[in-house]
Amino acid sequence: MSWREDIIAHLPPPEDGRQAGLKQDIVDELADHLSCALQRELRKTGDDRAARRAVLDRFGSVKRIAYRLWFDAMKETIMNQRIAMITNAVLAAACIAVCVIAFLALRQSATLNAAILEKLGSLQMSASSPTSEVWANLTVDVREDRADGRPVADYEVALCGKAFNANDPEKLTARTDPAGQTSFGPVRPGRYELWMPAAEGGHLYRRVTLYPGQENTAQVITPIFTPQPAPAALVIDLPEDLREEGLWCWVWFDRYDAELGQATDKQEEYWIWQPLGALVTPDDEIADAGVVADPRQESYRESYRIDSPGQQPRECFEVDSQLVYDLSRVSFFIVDDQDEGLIRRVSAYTFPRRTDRRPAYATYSADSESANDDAAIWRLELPEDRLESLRRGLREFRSEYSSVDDP
Amino acid sequence: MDSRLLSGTVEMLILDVLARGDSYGYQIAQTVLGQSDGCFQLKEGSLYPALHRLERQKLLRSYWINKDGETGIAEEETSGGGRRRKYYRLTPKGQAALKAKRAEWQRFAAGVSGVLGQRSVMA
Repeated sequence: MSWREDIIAHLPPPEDGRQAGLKQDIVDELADHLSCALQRELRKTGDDRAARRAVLDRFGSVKRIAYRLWFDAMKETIMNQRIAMITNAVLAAACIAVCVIAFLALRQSATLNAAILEKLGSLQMSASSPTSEVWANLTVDVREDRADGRPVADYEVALCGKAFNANDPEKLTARTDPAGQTSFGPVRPGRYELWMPAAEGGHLYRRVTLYPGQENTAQVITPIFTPQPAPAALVIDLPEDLREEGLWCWVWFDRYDAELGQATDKQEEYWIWQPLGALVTPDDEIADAGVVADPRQESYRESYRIDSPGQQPRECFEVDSQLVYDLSRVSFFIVDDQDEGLIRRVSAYTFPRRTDRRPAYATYSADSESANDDAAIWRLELPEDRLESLRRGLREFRSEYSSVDDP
Repeated sequence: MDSRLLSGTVEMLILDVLARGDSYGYQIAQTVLGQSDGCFQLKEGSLYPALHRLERQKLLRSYWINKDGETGIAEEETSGGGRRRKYYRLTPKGQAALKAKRAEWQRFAAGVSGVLGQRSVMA
């Protein structure tokens, strides 16, 4: 192996043009030195092998010197490269650290924002919508009286009543949305009534009690027909001794809203008289004394003739179909034919309220429109104690009437 | 001679040799050896690093000459296997540095001689 090959073999491989030139310079310089020294030794010894050994012994480690020269020349470059490498590594680590910190900060910020929004939301809810412990909500669901129960839109619903601790009543109105629903709330807990317009000017009615912290839902089924008049009749079965007494009969009817099953405040009041009696109209004194006729049902009052008590009624009156009526009270009066101003109630009978109104014997439905159908006839049979009370009242009346006439 | 005595003077010797004319590594070592009567034998492990260091310090400047065209060099020393030779030349900055080193060395040598001479008298 020549000097050059031996020196090159121990130098780092070239990495660029500048390093390659540097190595070549080192190799050439040292090889030249060794060649000169070898020539000198050859001249002394004449033995190539011994001369070469002597040169190397005196020179020392060629590869170490070559590497040192190369390293001294490249030290600045190597240091710069290492500094640049370390700087890049530090910068990369700093960038990664910044990214990580930014990511953690963003995540923490997002978490914090979410918590703040949640807190704000809860605060807003608590501020705008009263807490469940204090207020109540009511949702009214209005549907038609059909099998499919379609929602009734744009239907006016009124919530009337008073809160538990309030003195003044309040009234809230709302209209249903296309889904047939409307909401009241938050409202103060209390006893309220739902009023909804029914057909022919009537109202559906329902009581609701709203307690604190409750989500109440009321479903209302509305009639889908316009009520039509239907004939109805009342048969009063009086004993034989009472049939000829010339009694007047005043009958109260409670009208029930078919869907709600609640009695309305309005009572339908009708006069029914016996053949010997006279028709009493609202213009009569008896009317002025307190009889309240329903102005909406003017025609009713002239059709209540019962020619023959205990028999089939010859004339009937009409009620609204789809609305349920029930006998509420019957009062018997006697009227002096000679003096129409003399009138006295001799007995009265109040029917007990029934919870199940639809199949009641004293109700009428347009489902059975035949006048001869028993279901269309109110048949009144007074209990014996009431009949005795009626007789007693008649006796008292006659006694007083005779005592007035005798003088 | 103890090489430690030479270690601080290698650069000064190199500069001094080159102050007399351009030269290359082997010739510089031989010149120092010859002029010191064989006392200073510059090791290659010290010579070439010193030359390169002085060059990086701008005290020397180098150039290459192909052996085919070179003249003025002794025959026995130019017949090596190398194809080119690196020469060094003293720069003005190197001349100034040599001057300073000479002065410093003279002060050092005078001090050492003074101490050694006094001892001999005392002895």
